[in-house]
Amino acid sequence: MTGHAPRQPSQHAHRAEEPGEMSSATDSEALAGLKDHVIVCGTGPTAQRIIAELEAFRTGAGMRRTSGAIPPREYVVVARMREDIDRLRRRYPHMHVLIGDPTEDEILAQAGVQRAYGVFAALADERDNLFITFTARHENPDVRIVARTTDVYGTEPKLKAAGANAVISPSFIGGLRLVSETVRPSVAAFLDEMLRGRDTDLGLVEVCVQRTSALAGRTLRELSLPARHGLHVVALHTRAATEYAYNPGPEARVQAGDTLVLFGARASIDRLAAEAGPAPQEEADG
Amino acid sequence: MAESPVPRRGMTREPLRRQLLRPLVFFVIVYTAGVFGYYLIGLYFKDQPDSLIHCVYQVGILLASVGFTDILSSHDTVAGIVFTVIMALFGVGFLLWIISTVTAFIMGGQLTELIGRDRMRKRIDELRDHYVVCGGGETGQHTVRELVAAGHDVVLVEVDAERIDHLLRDIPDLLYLQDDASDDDVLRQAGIDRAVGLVSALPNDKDNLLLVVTARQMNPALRIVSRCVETENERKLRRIGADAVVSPNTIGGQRMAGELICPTVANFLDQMVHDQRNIRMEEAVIPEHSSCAGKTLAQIDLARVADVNIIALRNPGADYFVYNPRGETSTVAGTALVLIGAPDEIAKAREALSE
Repeated sequence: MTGHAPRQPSQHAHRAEEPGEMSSATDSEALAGLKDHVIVCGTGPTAQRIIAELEAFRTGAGMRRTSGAIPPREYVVVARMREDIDRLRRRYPHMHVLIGDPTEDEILAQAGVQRAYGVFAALADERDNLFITFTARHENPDVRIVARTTDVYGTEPKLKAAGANAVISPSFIGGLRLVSETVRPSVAAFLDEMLRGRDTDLGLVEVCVQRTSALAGRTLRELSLPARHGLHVVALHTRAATEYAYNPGPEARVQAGDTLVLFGARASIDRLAAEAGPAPQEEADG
Repeated sequence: MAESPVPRRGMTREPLRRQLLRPLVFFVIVYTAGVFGYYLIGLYFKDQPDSLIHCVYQVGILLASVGFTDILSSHDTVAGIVFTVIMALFGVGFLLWIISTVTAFIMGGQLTELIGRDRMRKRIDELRDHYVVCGGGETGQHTVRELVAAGHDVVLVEVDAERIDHLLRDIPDLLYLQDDASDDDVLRQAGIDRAVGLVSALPNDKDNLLLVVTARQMNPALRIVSRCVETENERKLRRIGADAVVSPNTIGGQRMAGELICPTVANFLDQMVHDQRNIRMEEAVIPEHSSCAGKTLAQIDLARVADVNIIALRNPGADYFVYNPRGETSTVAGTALVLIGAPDEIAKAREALSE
């Protein structure tokens, strides 16, 4: 597990707990030991937010929207310049850091792209993101890649073609949010609270129904989620359909592999998640 | 972005006037010189100069290239002939100049554009309860598209002609002012006193700050939402008068993280917010004089009239939501209901709430 990655003089990888003090062997070992981790390329405002969310997810403080499905993950931030990362490192001492250009194959390999669960291509220049996407997909066919773009019309298909699972345009969703905040402020505030879920015990959460689950093959009427758990079924995402069935009727049947989007108290959701069965990742790990 | 000097449509009036002024000044100078020329020729080569009014007539027919009979006594002297030829040439040149300027003015679309601008001004003046979007960059473009798609009246304020043209390709009847949004007069022209909302989507936080202050002073009731680039400016923008502040980069990061941590909910919320044809999340506010105000949800019984689900509600002044509200939850005028349903069902619900 602890194979040494070739080390180049300009690239240092280390745990941020003791900046600059760890020996290079330990640094490389720390990265080489990572598995099913997440790689964040970039240090700009978008990447910073990603790191904050990952950190909250890791510690279980914030966005726990997938109940039990995905275990907390380690993450490594790839920064071009040491200065870019200094402030972030002080705030999130747990994070792994790799200094180097993420568009270089060597750096991505060092970040462990072959063993990674996900890659964020969140650099300011979308050509860089295209490059990272392409390289990461080439190195790891199973990795989940989320890329940032500045213009949703021009580059999104190219990024998708290069292998990105999801493409996000901050200016596009920023524009949508500006409109929501102007035209329907209550909905915007509501969704915001749902996403952050800080002050409330309630939330919008997805639960994936596993093959072995007792829920599989039953209708919503039989499950009677509102009565038994106090949960509101907002949507049902079936494996076959690409679209969501909103407000599914009582006759809708839940199949293995379907995802339920639920709204309700987190404790109830956790109980239901237990019924839905363990996540595939955990099965694979165990 | 906005700092770079760009050709502005609003500036075309000035050069045009100057364009027409130049041949006019030339005309006056040549005319005056011609009149005095003939007068002096008459004075030196004939014993008696021609009368000034005859000279004015002679120069007039020459410059207009009419070529009428000479009436001056000096027309048979050498000096008189040479002078007449020179004046005739000036006349042709002058005529060509005027014609080409006017043609270029019309062909260049400047005239039609002036008419179009006036028509647009009139249409903007007639708007009420519309939205003003300042800044047509990437974020602003998406903002305009979404507002128009949702069926709202929009006035875009943007300095860059290219960006306006980009939007006009998809939205041909878009109302816009090509001008600086931080100018009070421009905001007034955009009808800020009659607007319900203003989106400040300028590329620079300082510009957004200035715009928010200006807009707030001009219309205290306006809903102002500002974009912010640097997260640390969010609080400043709020304090200075913005009702809400959106940082595209930050929510972009949030969405990207969501895509990995919890893809279904992230996608779901995405569809929820801008799905035009299917079911979406909307809000319905109980109006001031509605008979529903003061009733409980069970008494209002929205499910009877519309196929919507009330997922949350918020009373005016409260900063928290009541989730999955029960039938016995009471409402007041101004209570906002967060609904899930098809657009026409939501419209039905709104209608029922305002009865």
